[in-house]
Amino acid sequence: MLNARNFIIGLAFLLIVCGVTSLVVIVPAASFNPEPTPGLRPYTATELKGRAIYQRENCYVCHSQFVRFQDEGTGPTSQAGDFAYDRVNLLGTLRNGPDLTYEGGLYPDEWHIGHLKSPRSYLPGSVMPSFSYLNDTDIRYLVSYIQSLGTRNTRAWETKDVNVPEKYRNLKSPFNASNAGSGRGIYNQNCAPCHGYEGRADVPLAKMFYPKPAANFHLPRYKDFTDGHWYNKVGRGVPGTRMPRWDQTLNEEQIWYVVEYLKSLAKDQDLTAKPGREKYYDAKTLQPGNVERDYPGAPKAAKGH
Amino acid sequence: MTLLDRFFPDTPDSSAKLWLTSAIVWGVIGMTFGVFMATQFMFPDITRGVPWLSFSRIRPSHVNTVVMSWVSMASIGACFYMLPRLVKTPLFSERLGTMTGWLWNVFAALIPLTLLNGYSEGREWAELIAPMDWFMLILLVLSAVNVFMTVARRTEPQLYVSVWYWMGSFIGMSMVWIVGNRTFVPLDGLNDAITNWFYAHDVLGLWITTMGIGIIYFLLPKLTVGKKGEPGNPIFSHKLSLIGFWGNFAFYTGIGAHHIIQAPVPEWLKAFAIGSSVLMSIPVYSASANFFLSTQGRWDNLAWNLPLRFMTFGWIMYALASFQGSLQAVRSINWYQHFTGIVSAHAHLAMLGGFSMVLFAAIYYTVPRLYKVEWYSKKLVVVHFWTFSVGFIMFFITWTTMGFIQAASWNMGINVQQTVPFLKPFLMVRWMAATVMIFGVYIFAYNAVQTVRSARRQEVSRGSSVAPALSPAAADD
Repeated sequence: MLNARNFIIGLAFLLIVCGVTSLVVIVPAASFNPEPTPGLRPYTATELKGRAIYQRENCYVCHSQFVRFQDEGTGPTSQAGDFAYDRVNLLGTLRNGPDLTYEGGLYPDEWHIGHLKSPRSYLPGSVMPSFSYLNDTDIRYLVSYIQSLGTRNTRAWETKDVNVPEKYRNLKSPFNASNAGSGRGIYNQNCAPCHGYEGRADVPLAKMFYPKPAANFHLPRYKDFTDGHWYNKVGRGVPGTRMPRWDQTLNEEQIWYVVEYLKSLAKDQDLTAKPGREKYYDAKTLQPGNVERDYPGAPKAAKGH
Repeated sequence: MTLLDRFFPDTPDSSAKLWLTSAIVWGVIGMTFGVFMATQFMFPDITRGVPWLSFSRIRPSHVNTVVMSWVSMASIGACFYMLPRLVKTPLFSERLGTMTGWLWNVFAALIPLTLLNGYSEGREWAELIAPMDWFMLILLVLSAVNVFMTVARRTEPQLYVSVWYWMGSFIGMSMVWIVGNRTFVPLDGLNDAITNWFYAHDVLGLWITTMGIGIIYFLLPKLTVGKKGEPGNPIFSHKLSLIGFWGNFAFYTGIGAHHIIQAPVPEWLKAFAIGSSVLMSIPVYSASANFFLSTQGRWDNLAWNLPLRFMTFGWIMYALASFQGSLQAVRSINWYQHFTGIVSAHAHLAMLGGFSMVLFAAIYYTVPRLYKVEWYSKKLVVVHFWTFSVGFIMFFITWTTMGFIQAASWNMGINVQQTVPFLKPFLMVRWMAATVMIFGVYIFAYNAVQTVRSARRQEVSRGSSVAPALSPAAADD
């Protein structure tokens, strides 16, 4: 019953369906070939192995991998060239968990390994499944892939200490030294667990982490830090270390308070060459007192001092 | 009786029986995966240390089993029953149909076996590995041959709109499958994403929707018969149904990129996808208006006609889902709600509240006519309807609420980890709603098993192990 009318209808149908398909799939494939973003390097062999595990375990069902302009605090908006070396797209469509585009360098490897095996020990209340069934080699591959996310591109994420992004370079603090006291409380709550009270790294975590957290904010070299440099360090964290991006937790005002506190710590001379033996202010008289504070693990003060 | 006749019978409607009964089994399995995932959201460590029960591996198994096993097998089964009635010709080859059915069952079993064991391509919705892609393509072609040859040998020259829809679906799905799984050409980066989402949305648009609407157009005149045997309403307008057909295939094909509106893909592609998504309201509203106006004057049937109740619930949910879908594709709304649970809830509105309900209706209508028995229990059908529909509405509202909480929190600058605790009570309600729904599905499966068993008993008591021959153009058609 293939008469002319049916033939024309069938042909029109095929033309519509195939035509639209070609337009939305084949035309982009032929015309849309973005160059890799300048500075973007391909994946290493280890990272690719980790990526295969990421695919095998279907991590993309909960973690997206592209940043929109409104996703503040995550990182720069994704560019077409950022995906140039992705053999299978892992964009994702649902954020049951955070976006992972710039996850690399936010936490040290040890944190990722522990978190993959036992997520709720690291983030209470998390709904992520435990990947304790992955063997150690697989986990290491996976972590190397996670660490490569966003760090393969020198433009997107500055990893060098001296490179303060232009956005932060010329920032000026809205406060002055008289606000340092306000920053102290915030510092003690958030920074002290790793950097120690008053910036002396006199806490166990300061000894455990590798790379080590900044150990002594009283050093004269901190005098050279500009406001923008401080803000960048505190707000955006230090990729490759445990130092998080505090702009996700603290607001701008709080960060500036902390910066004022940190600025107040730096001294013209290094007064703390011998930790544990510094003279502290007496809380009652507000004069330099004779109290010697000790802490666990501090070298014993020499007798007769 | 040879072994061939035992497993690949040649008797009329044997393929429809095989496809529909298999579909029920896969429906139960696929939806159980879903409830299990809802449980894992409540107790994330419940299957800790068991790789093949990890949430991340069950999620693709759930999606692929529901789409490729439950909905696809039920749609093709219903099509194999309804098509011969519409073209007044027996199915081209029942043996080909049953063979394809068994092969599709093998495919359906391989879906969880491969995905749960970690054989995944890692492309959302298109996770199945390359050999499975080829396998599926063969199965689609085999089913399509059966459908097209039946139509070619028809004795009824006029083609009803359902047949248009089904023929279009088989062409569309084969093409979407080849292109979407990028079977021939591997692609990189964002082009892979474009293809990926072309597949993920068109498997709904050019396959599930069109097969389902064909089934609704078949069932509507059958189910609106009066209680005293008054003739059923014919469909309101054939012109509207054809507007729906052409609109669906013209506009649905290009909307995949609306999933990546905010990703850096070409702007013209986004614009095309958004335009197509909004234009989708033409076929959707013409079809829904047609369904609505065809039911006019017979709404009282909902009180006693249980399949009609399922089907009406289904197409109303389909219309709502499409309305929501057109809105969500618009940039300003997508800006707010993308990445949240609203999208997942929307997918369930179409798949679970919409076409699963339509397919339940098709099974409730078809099985008694296939097996020549009444349903084992009408009460259980009522229980199925109420547990499923009430559970579903609870489920959908909860998930959408979760989506709004996520969207609002993220836009206030609260990050994703910090949002999770807000969702905990809703995860609990969603889990409960899912449990209520799966209870209805188990009841449905139990009812079906008992019905088929009672049919078998009757056959045995009649002294015949072969199903009674059923004239292709059965009396009620």
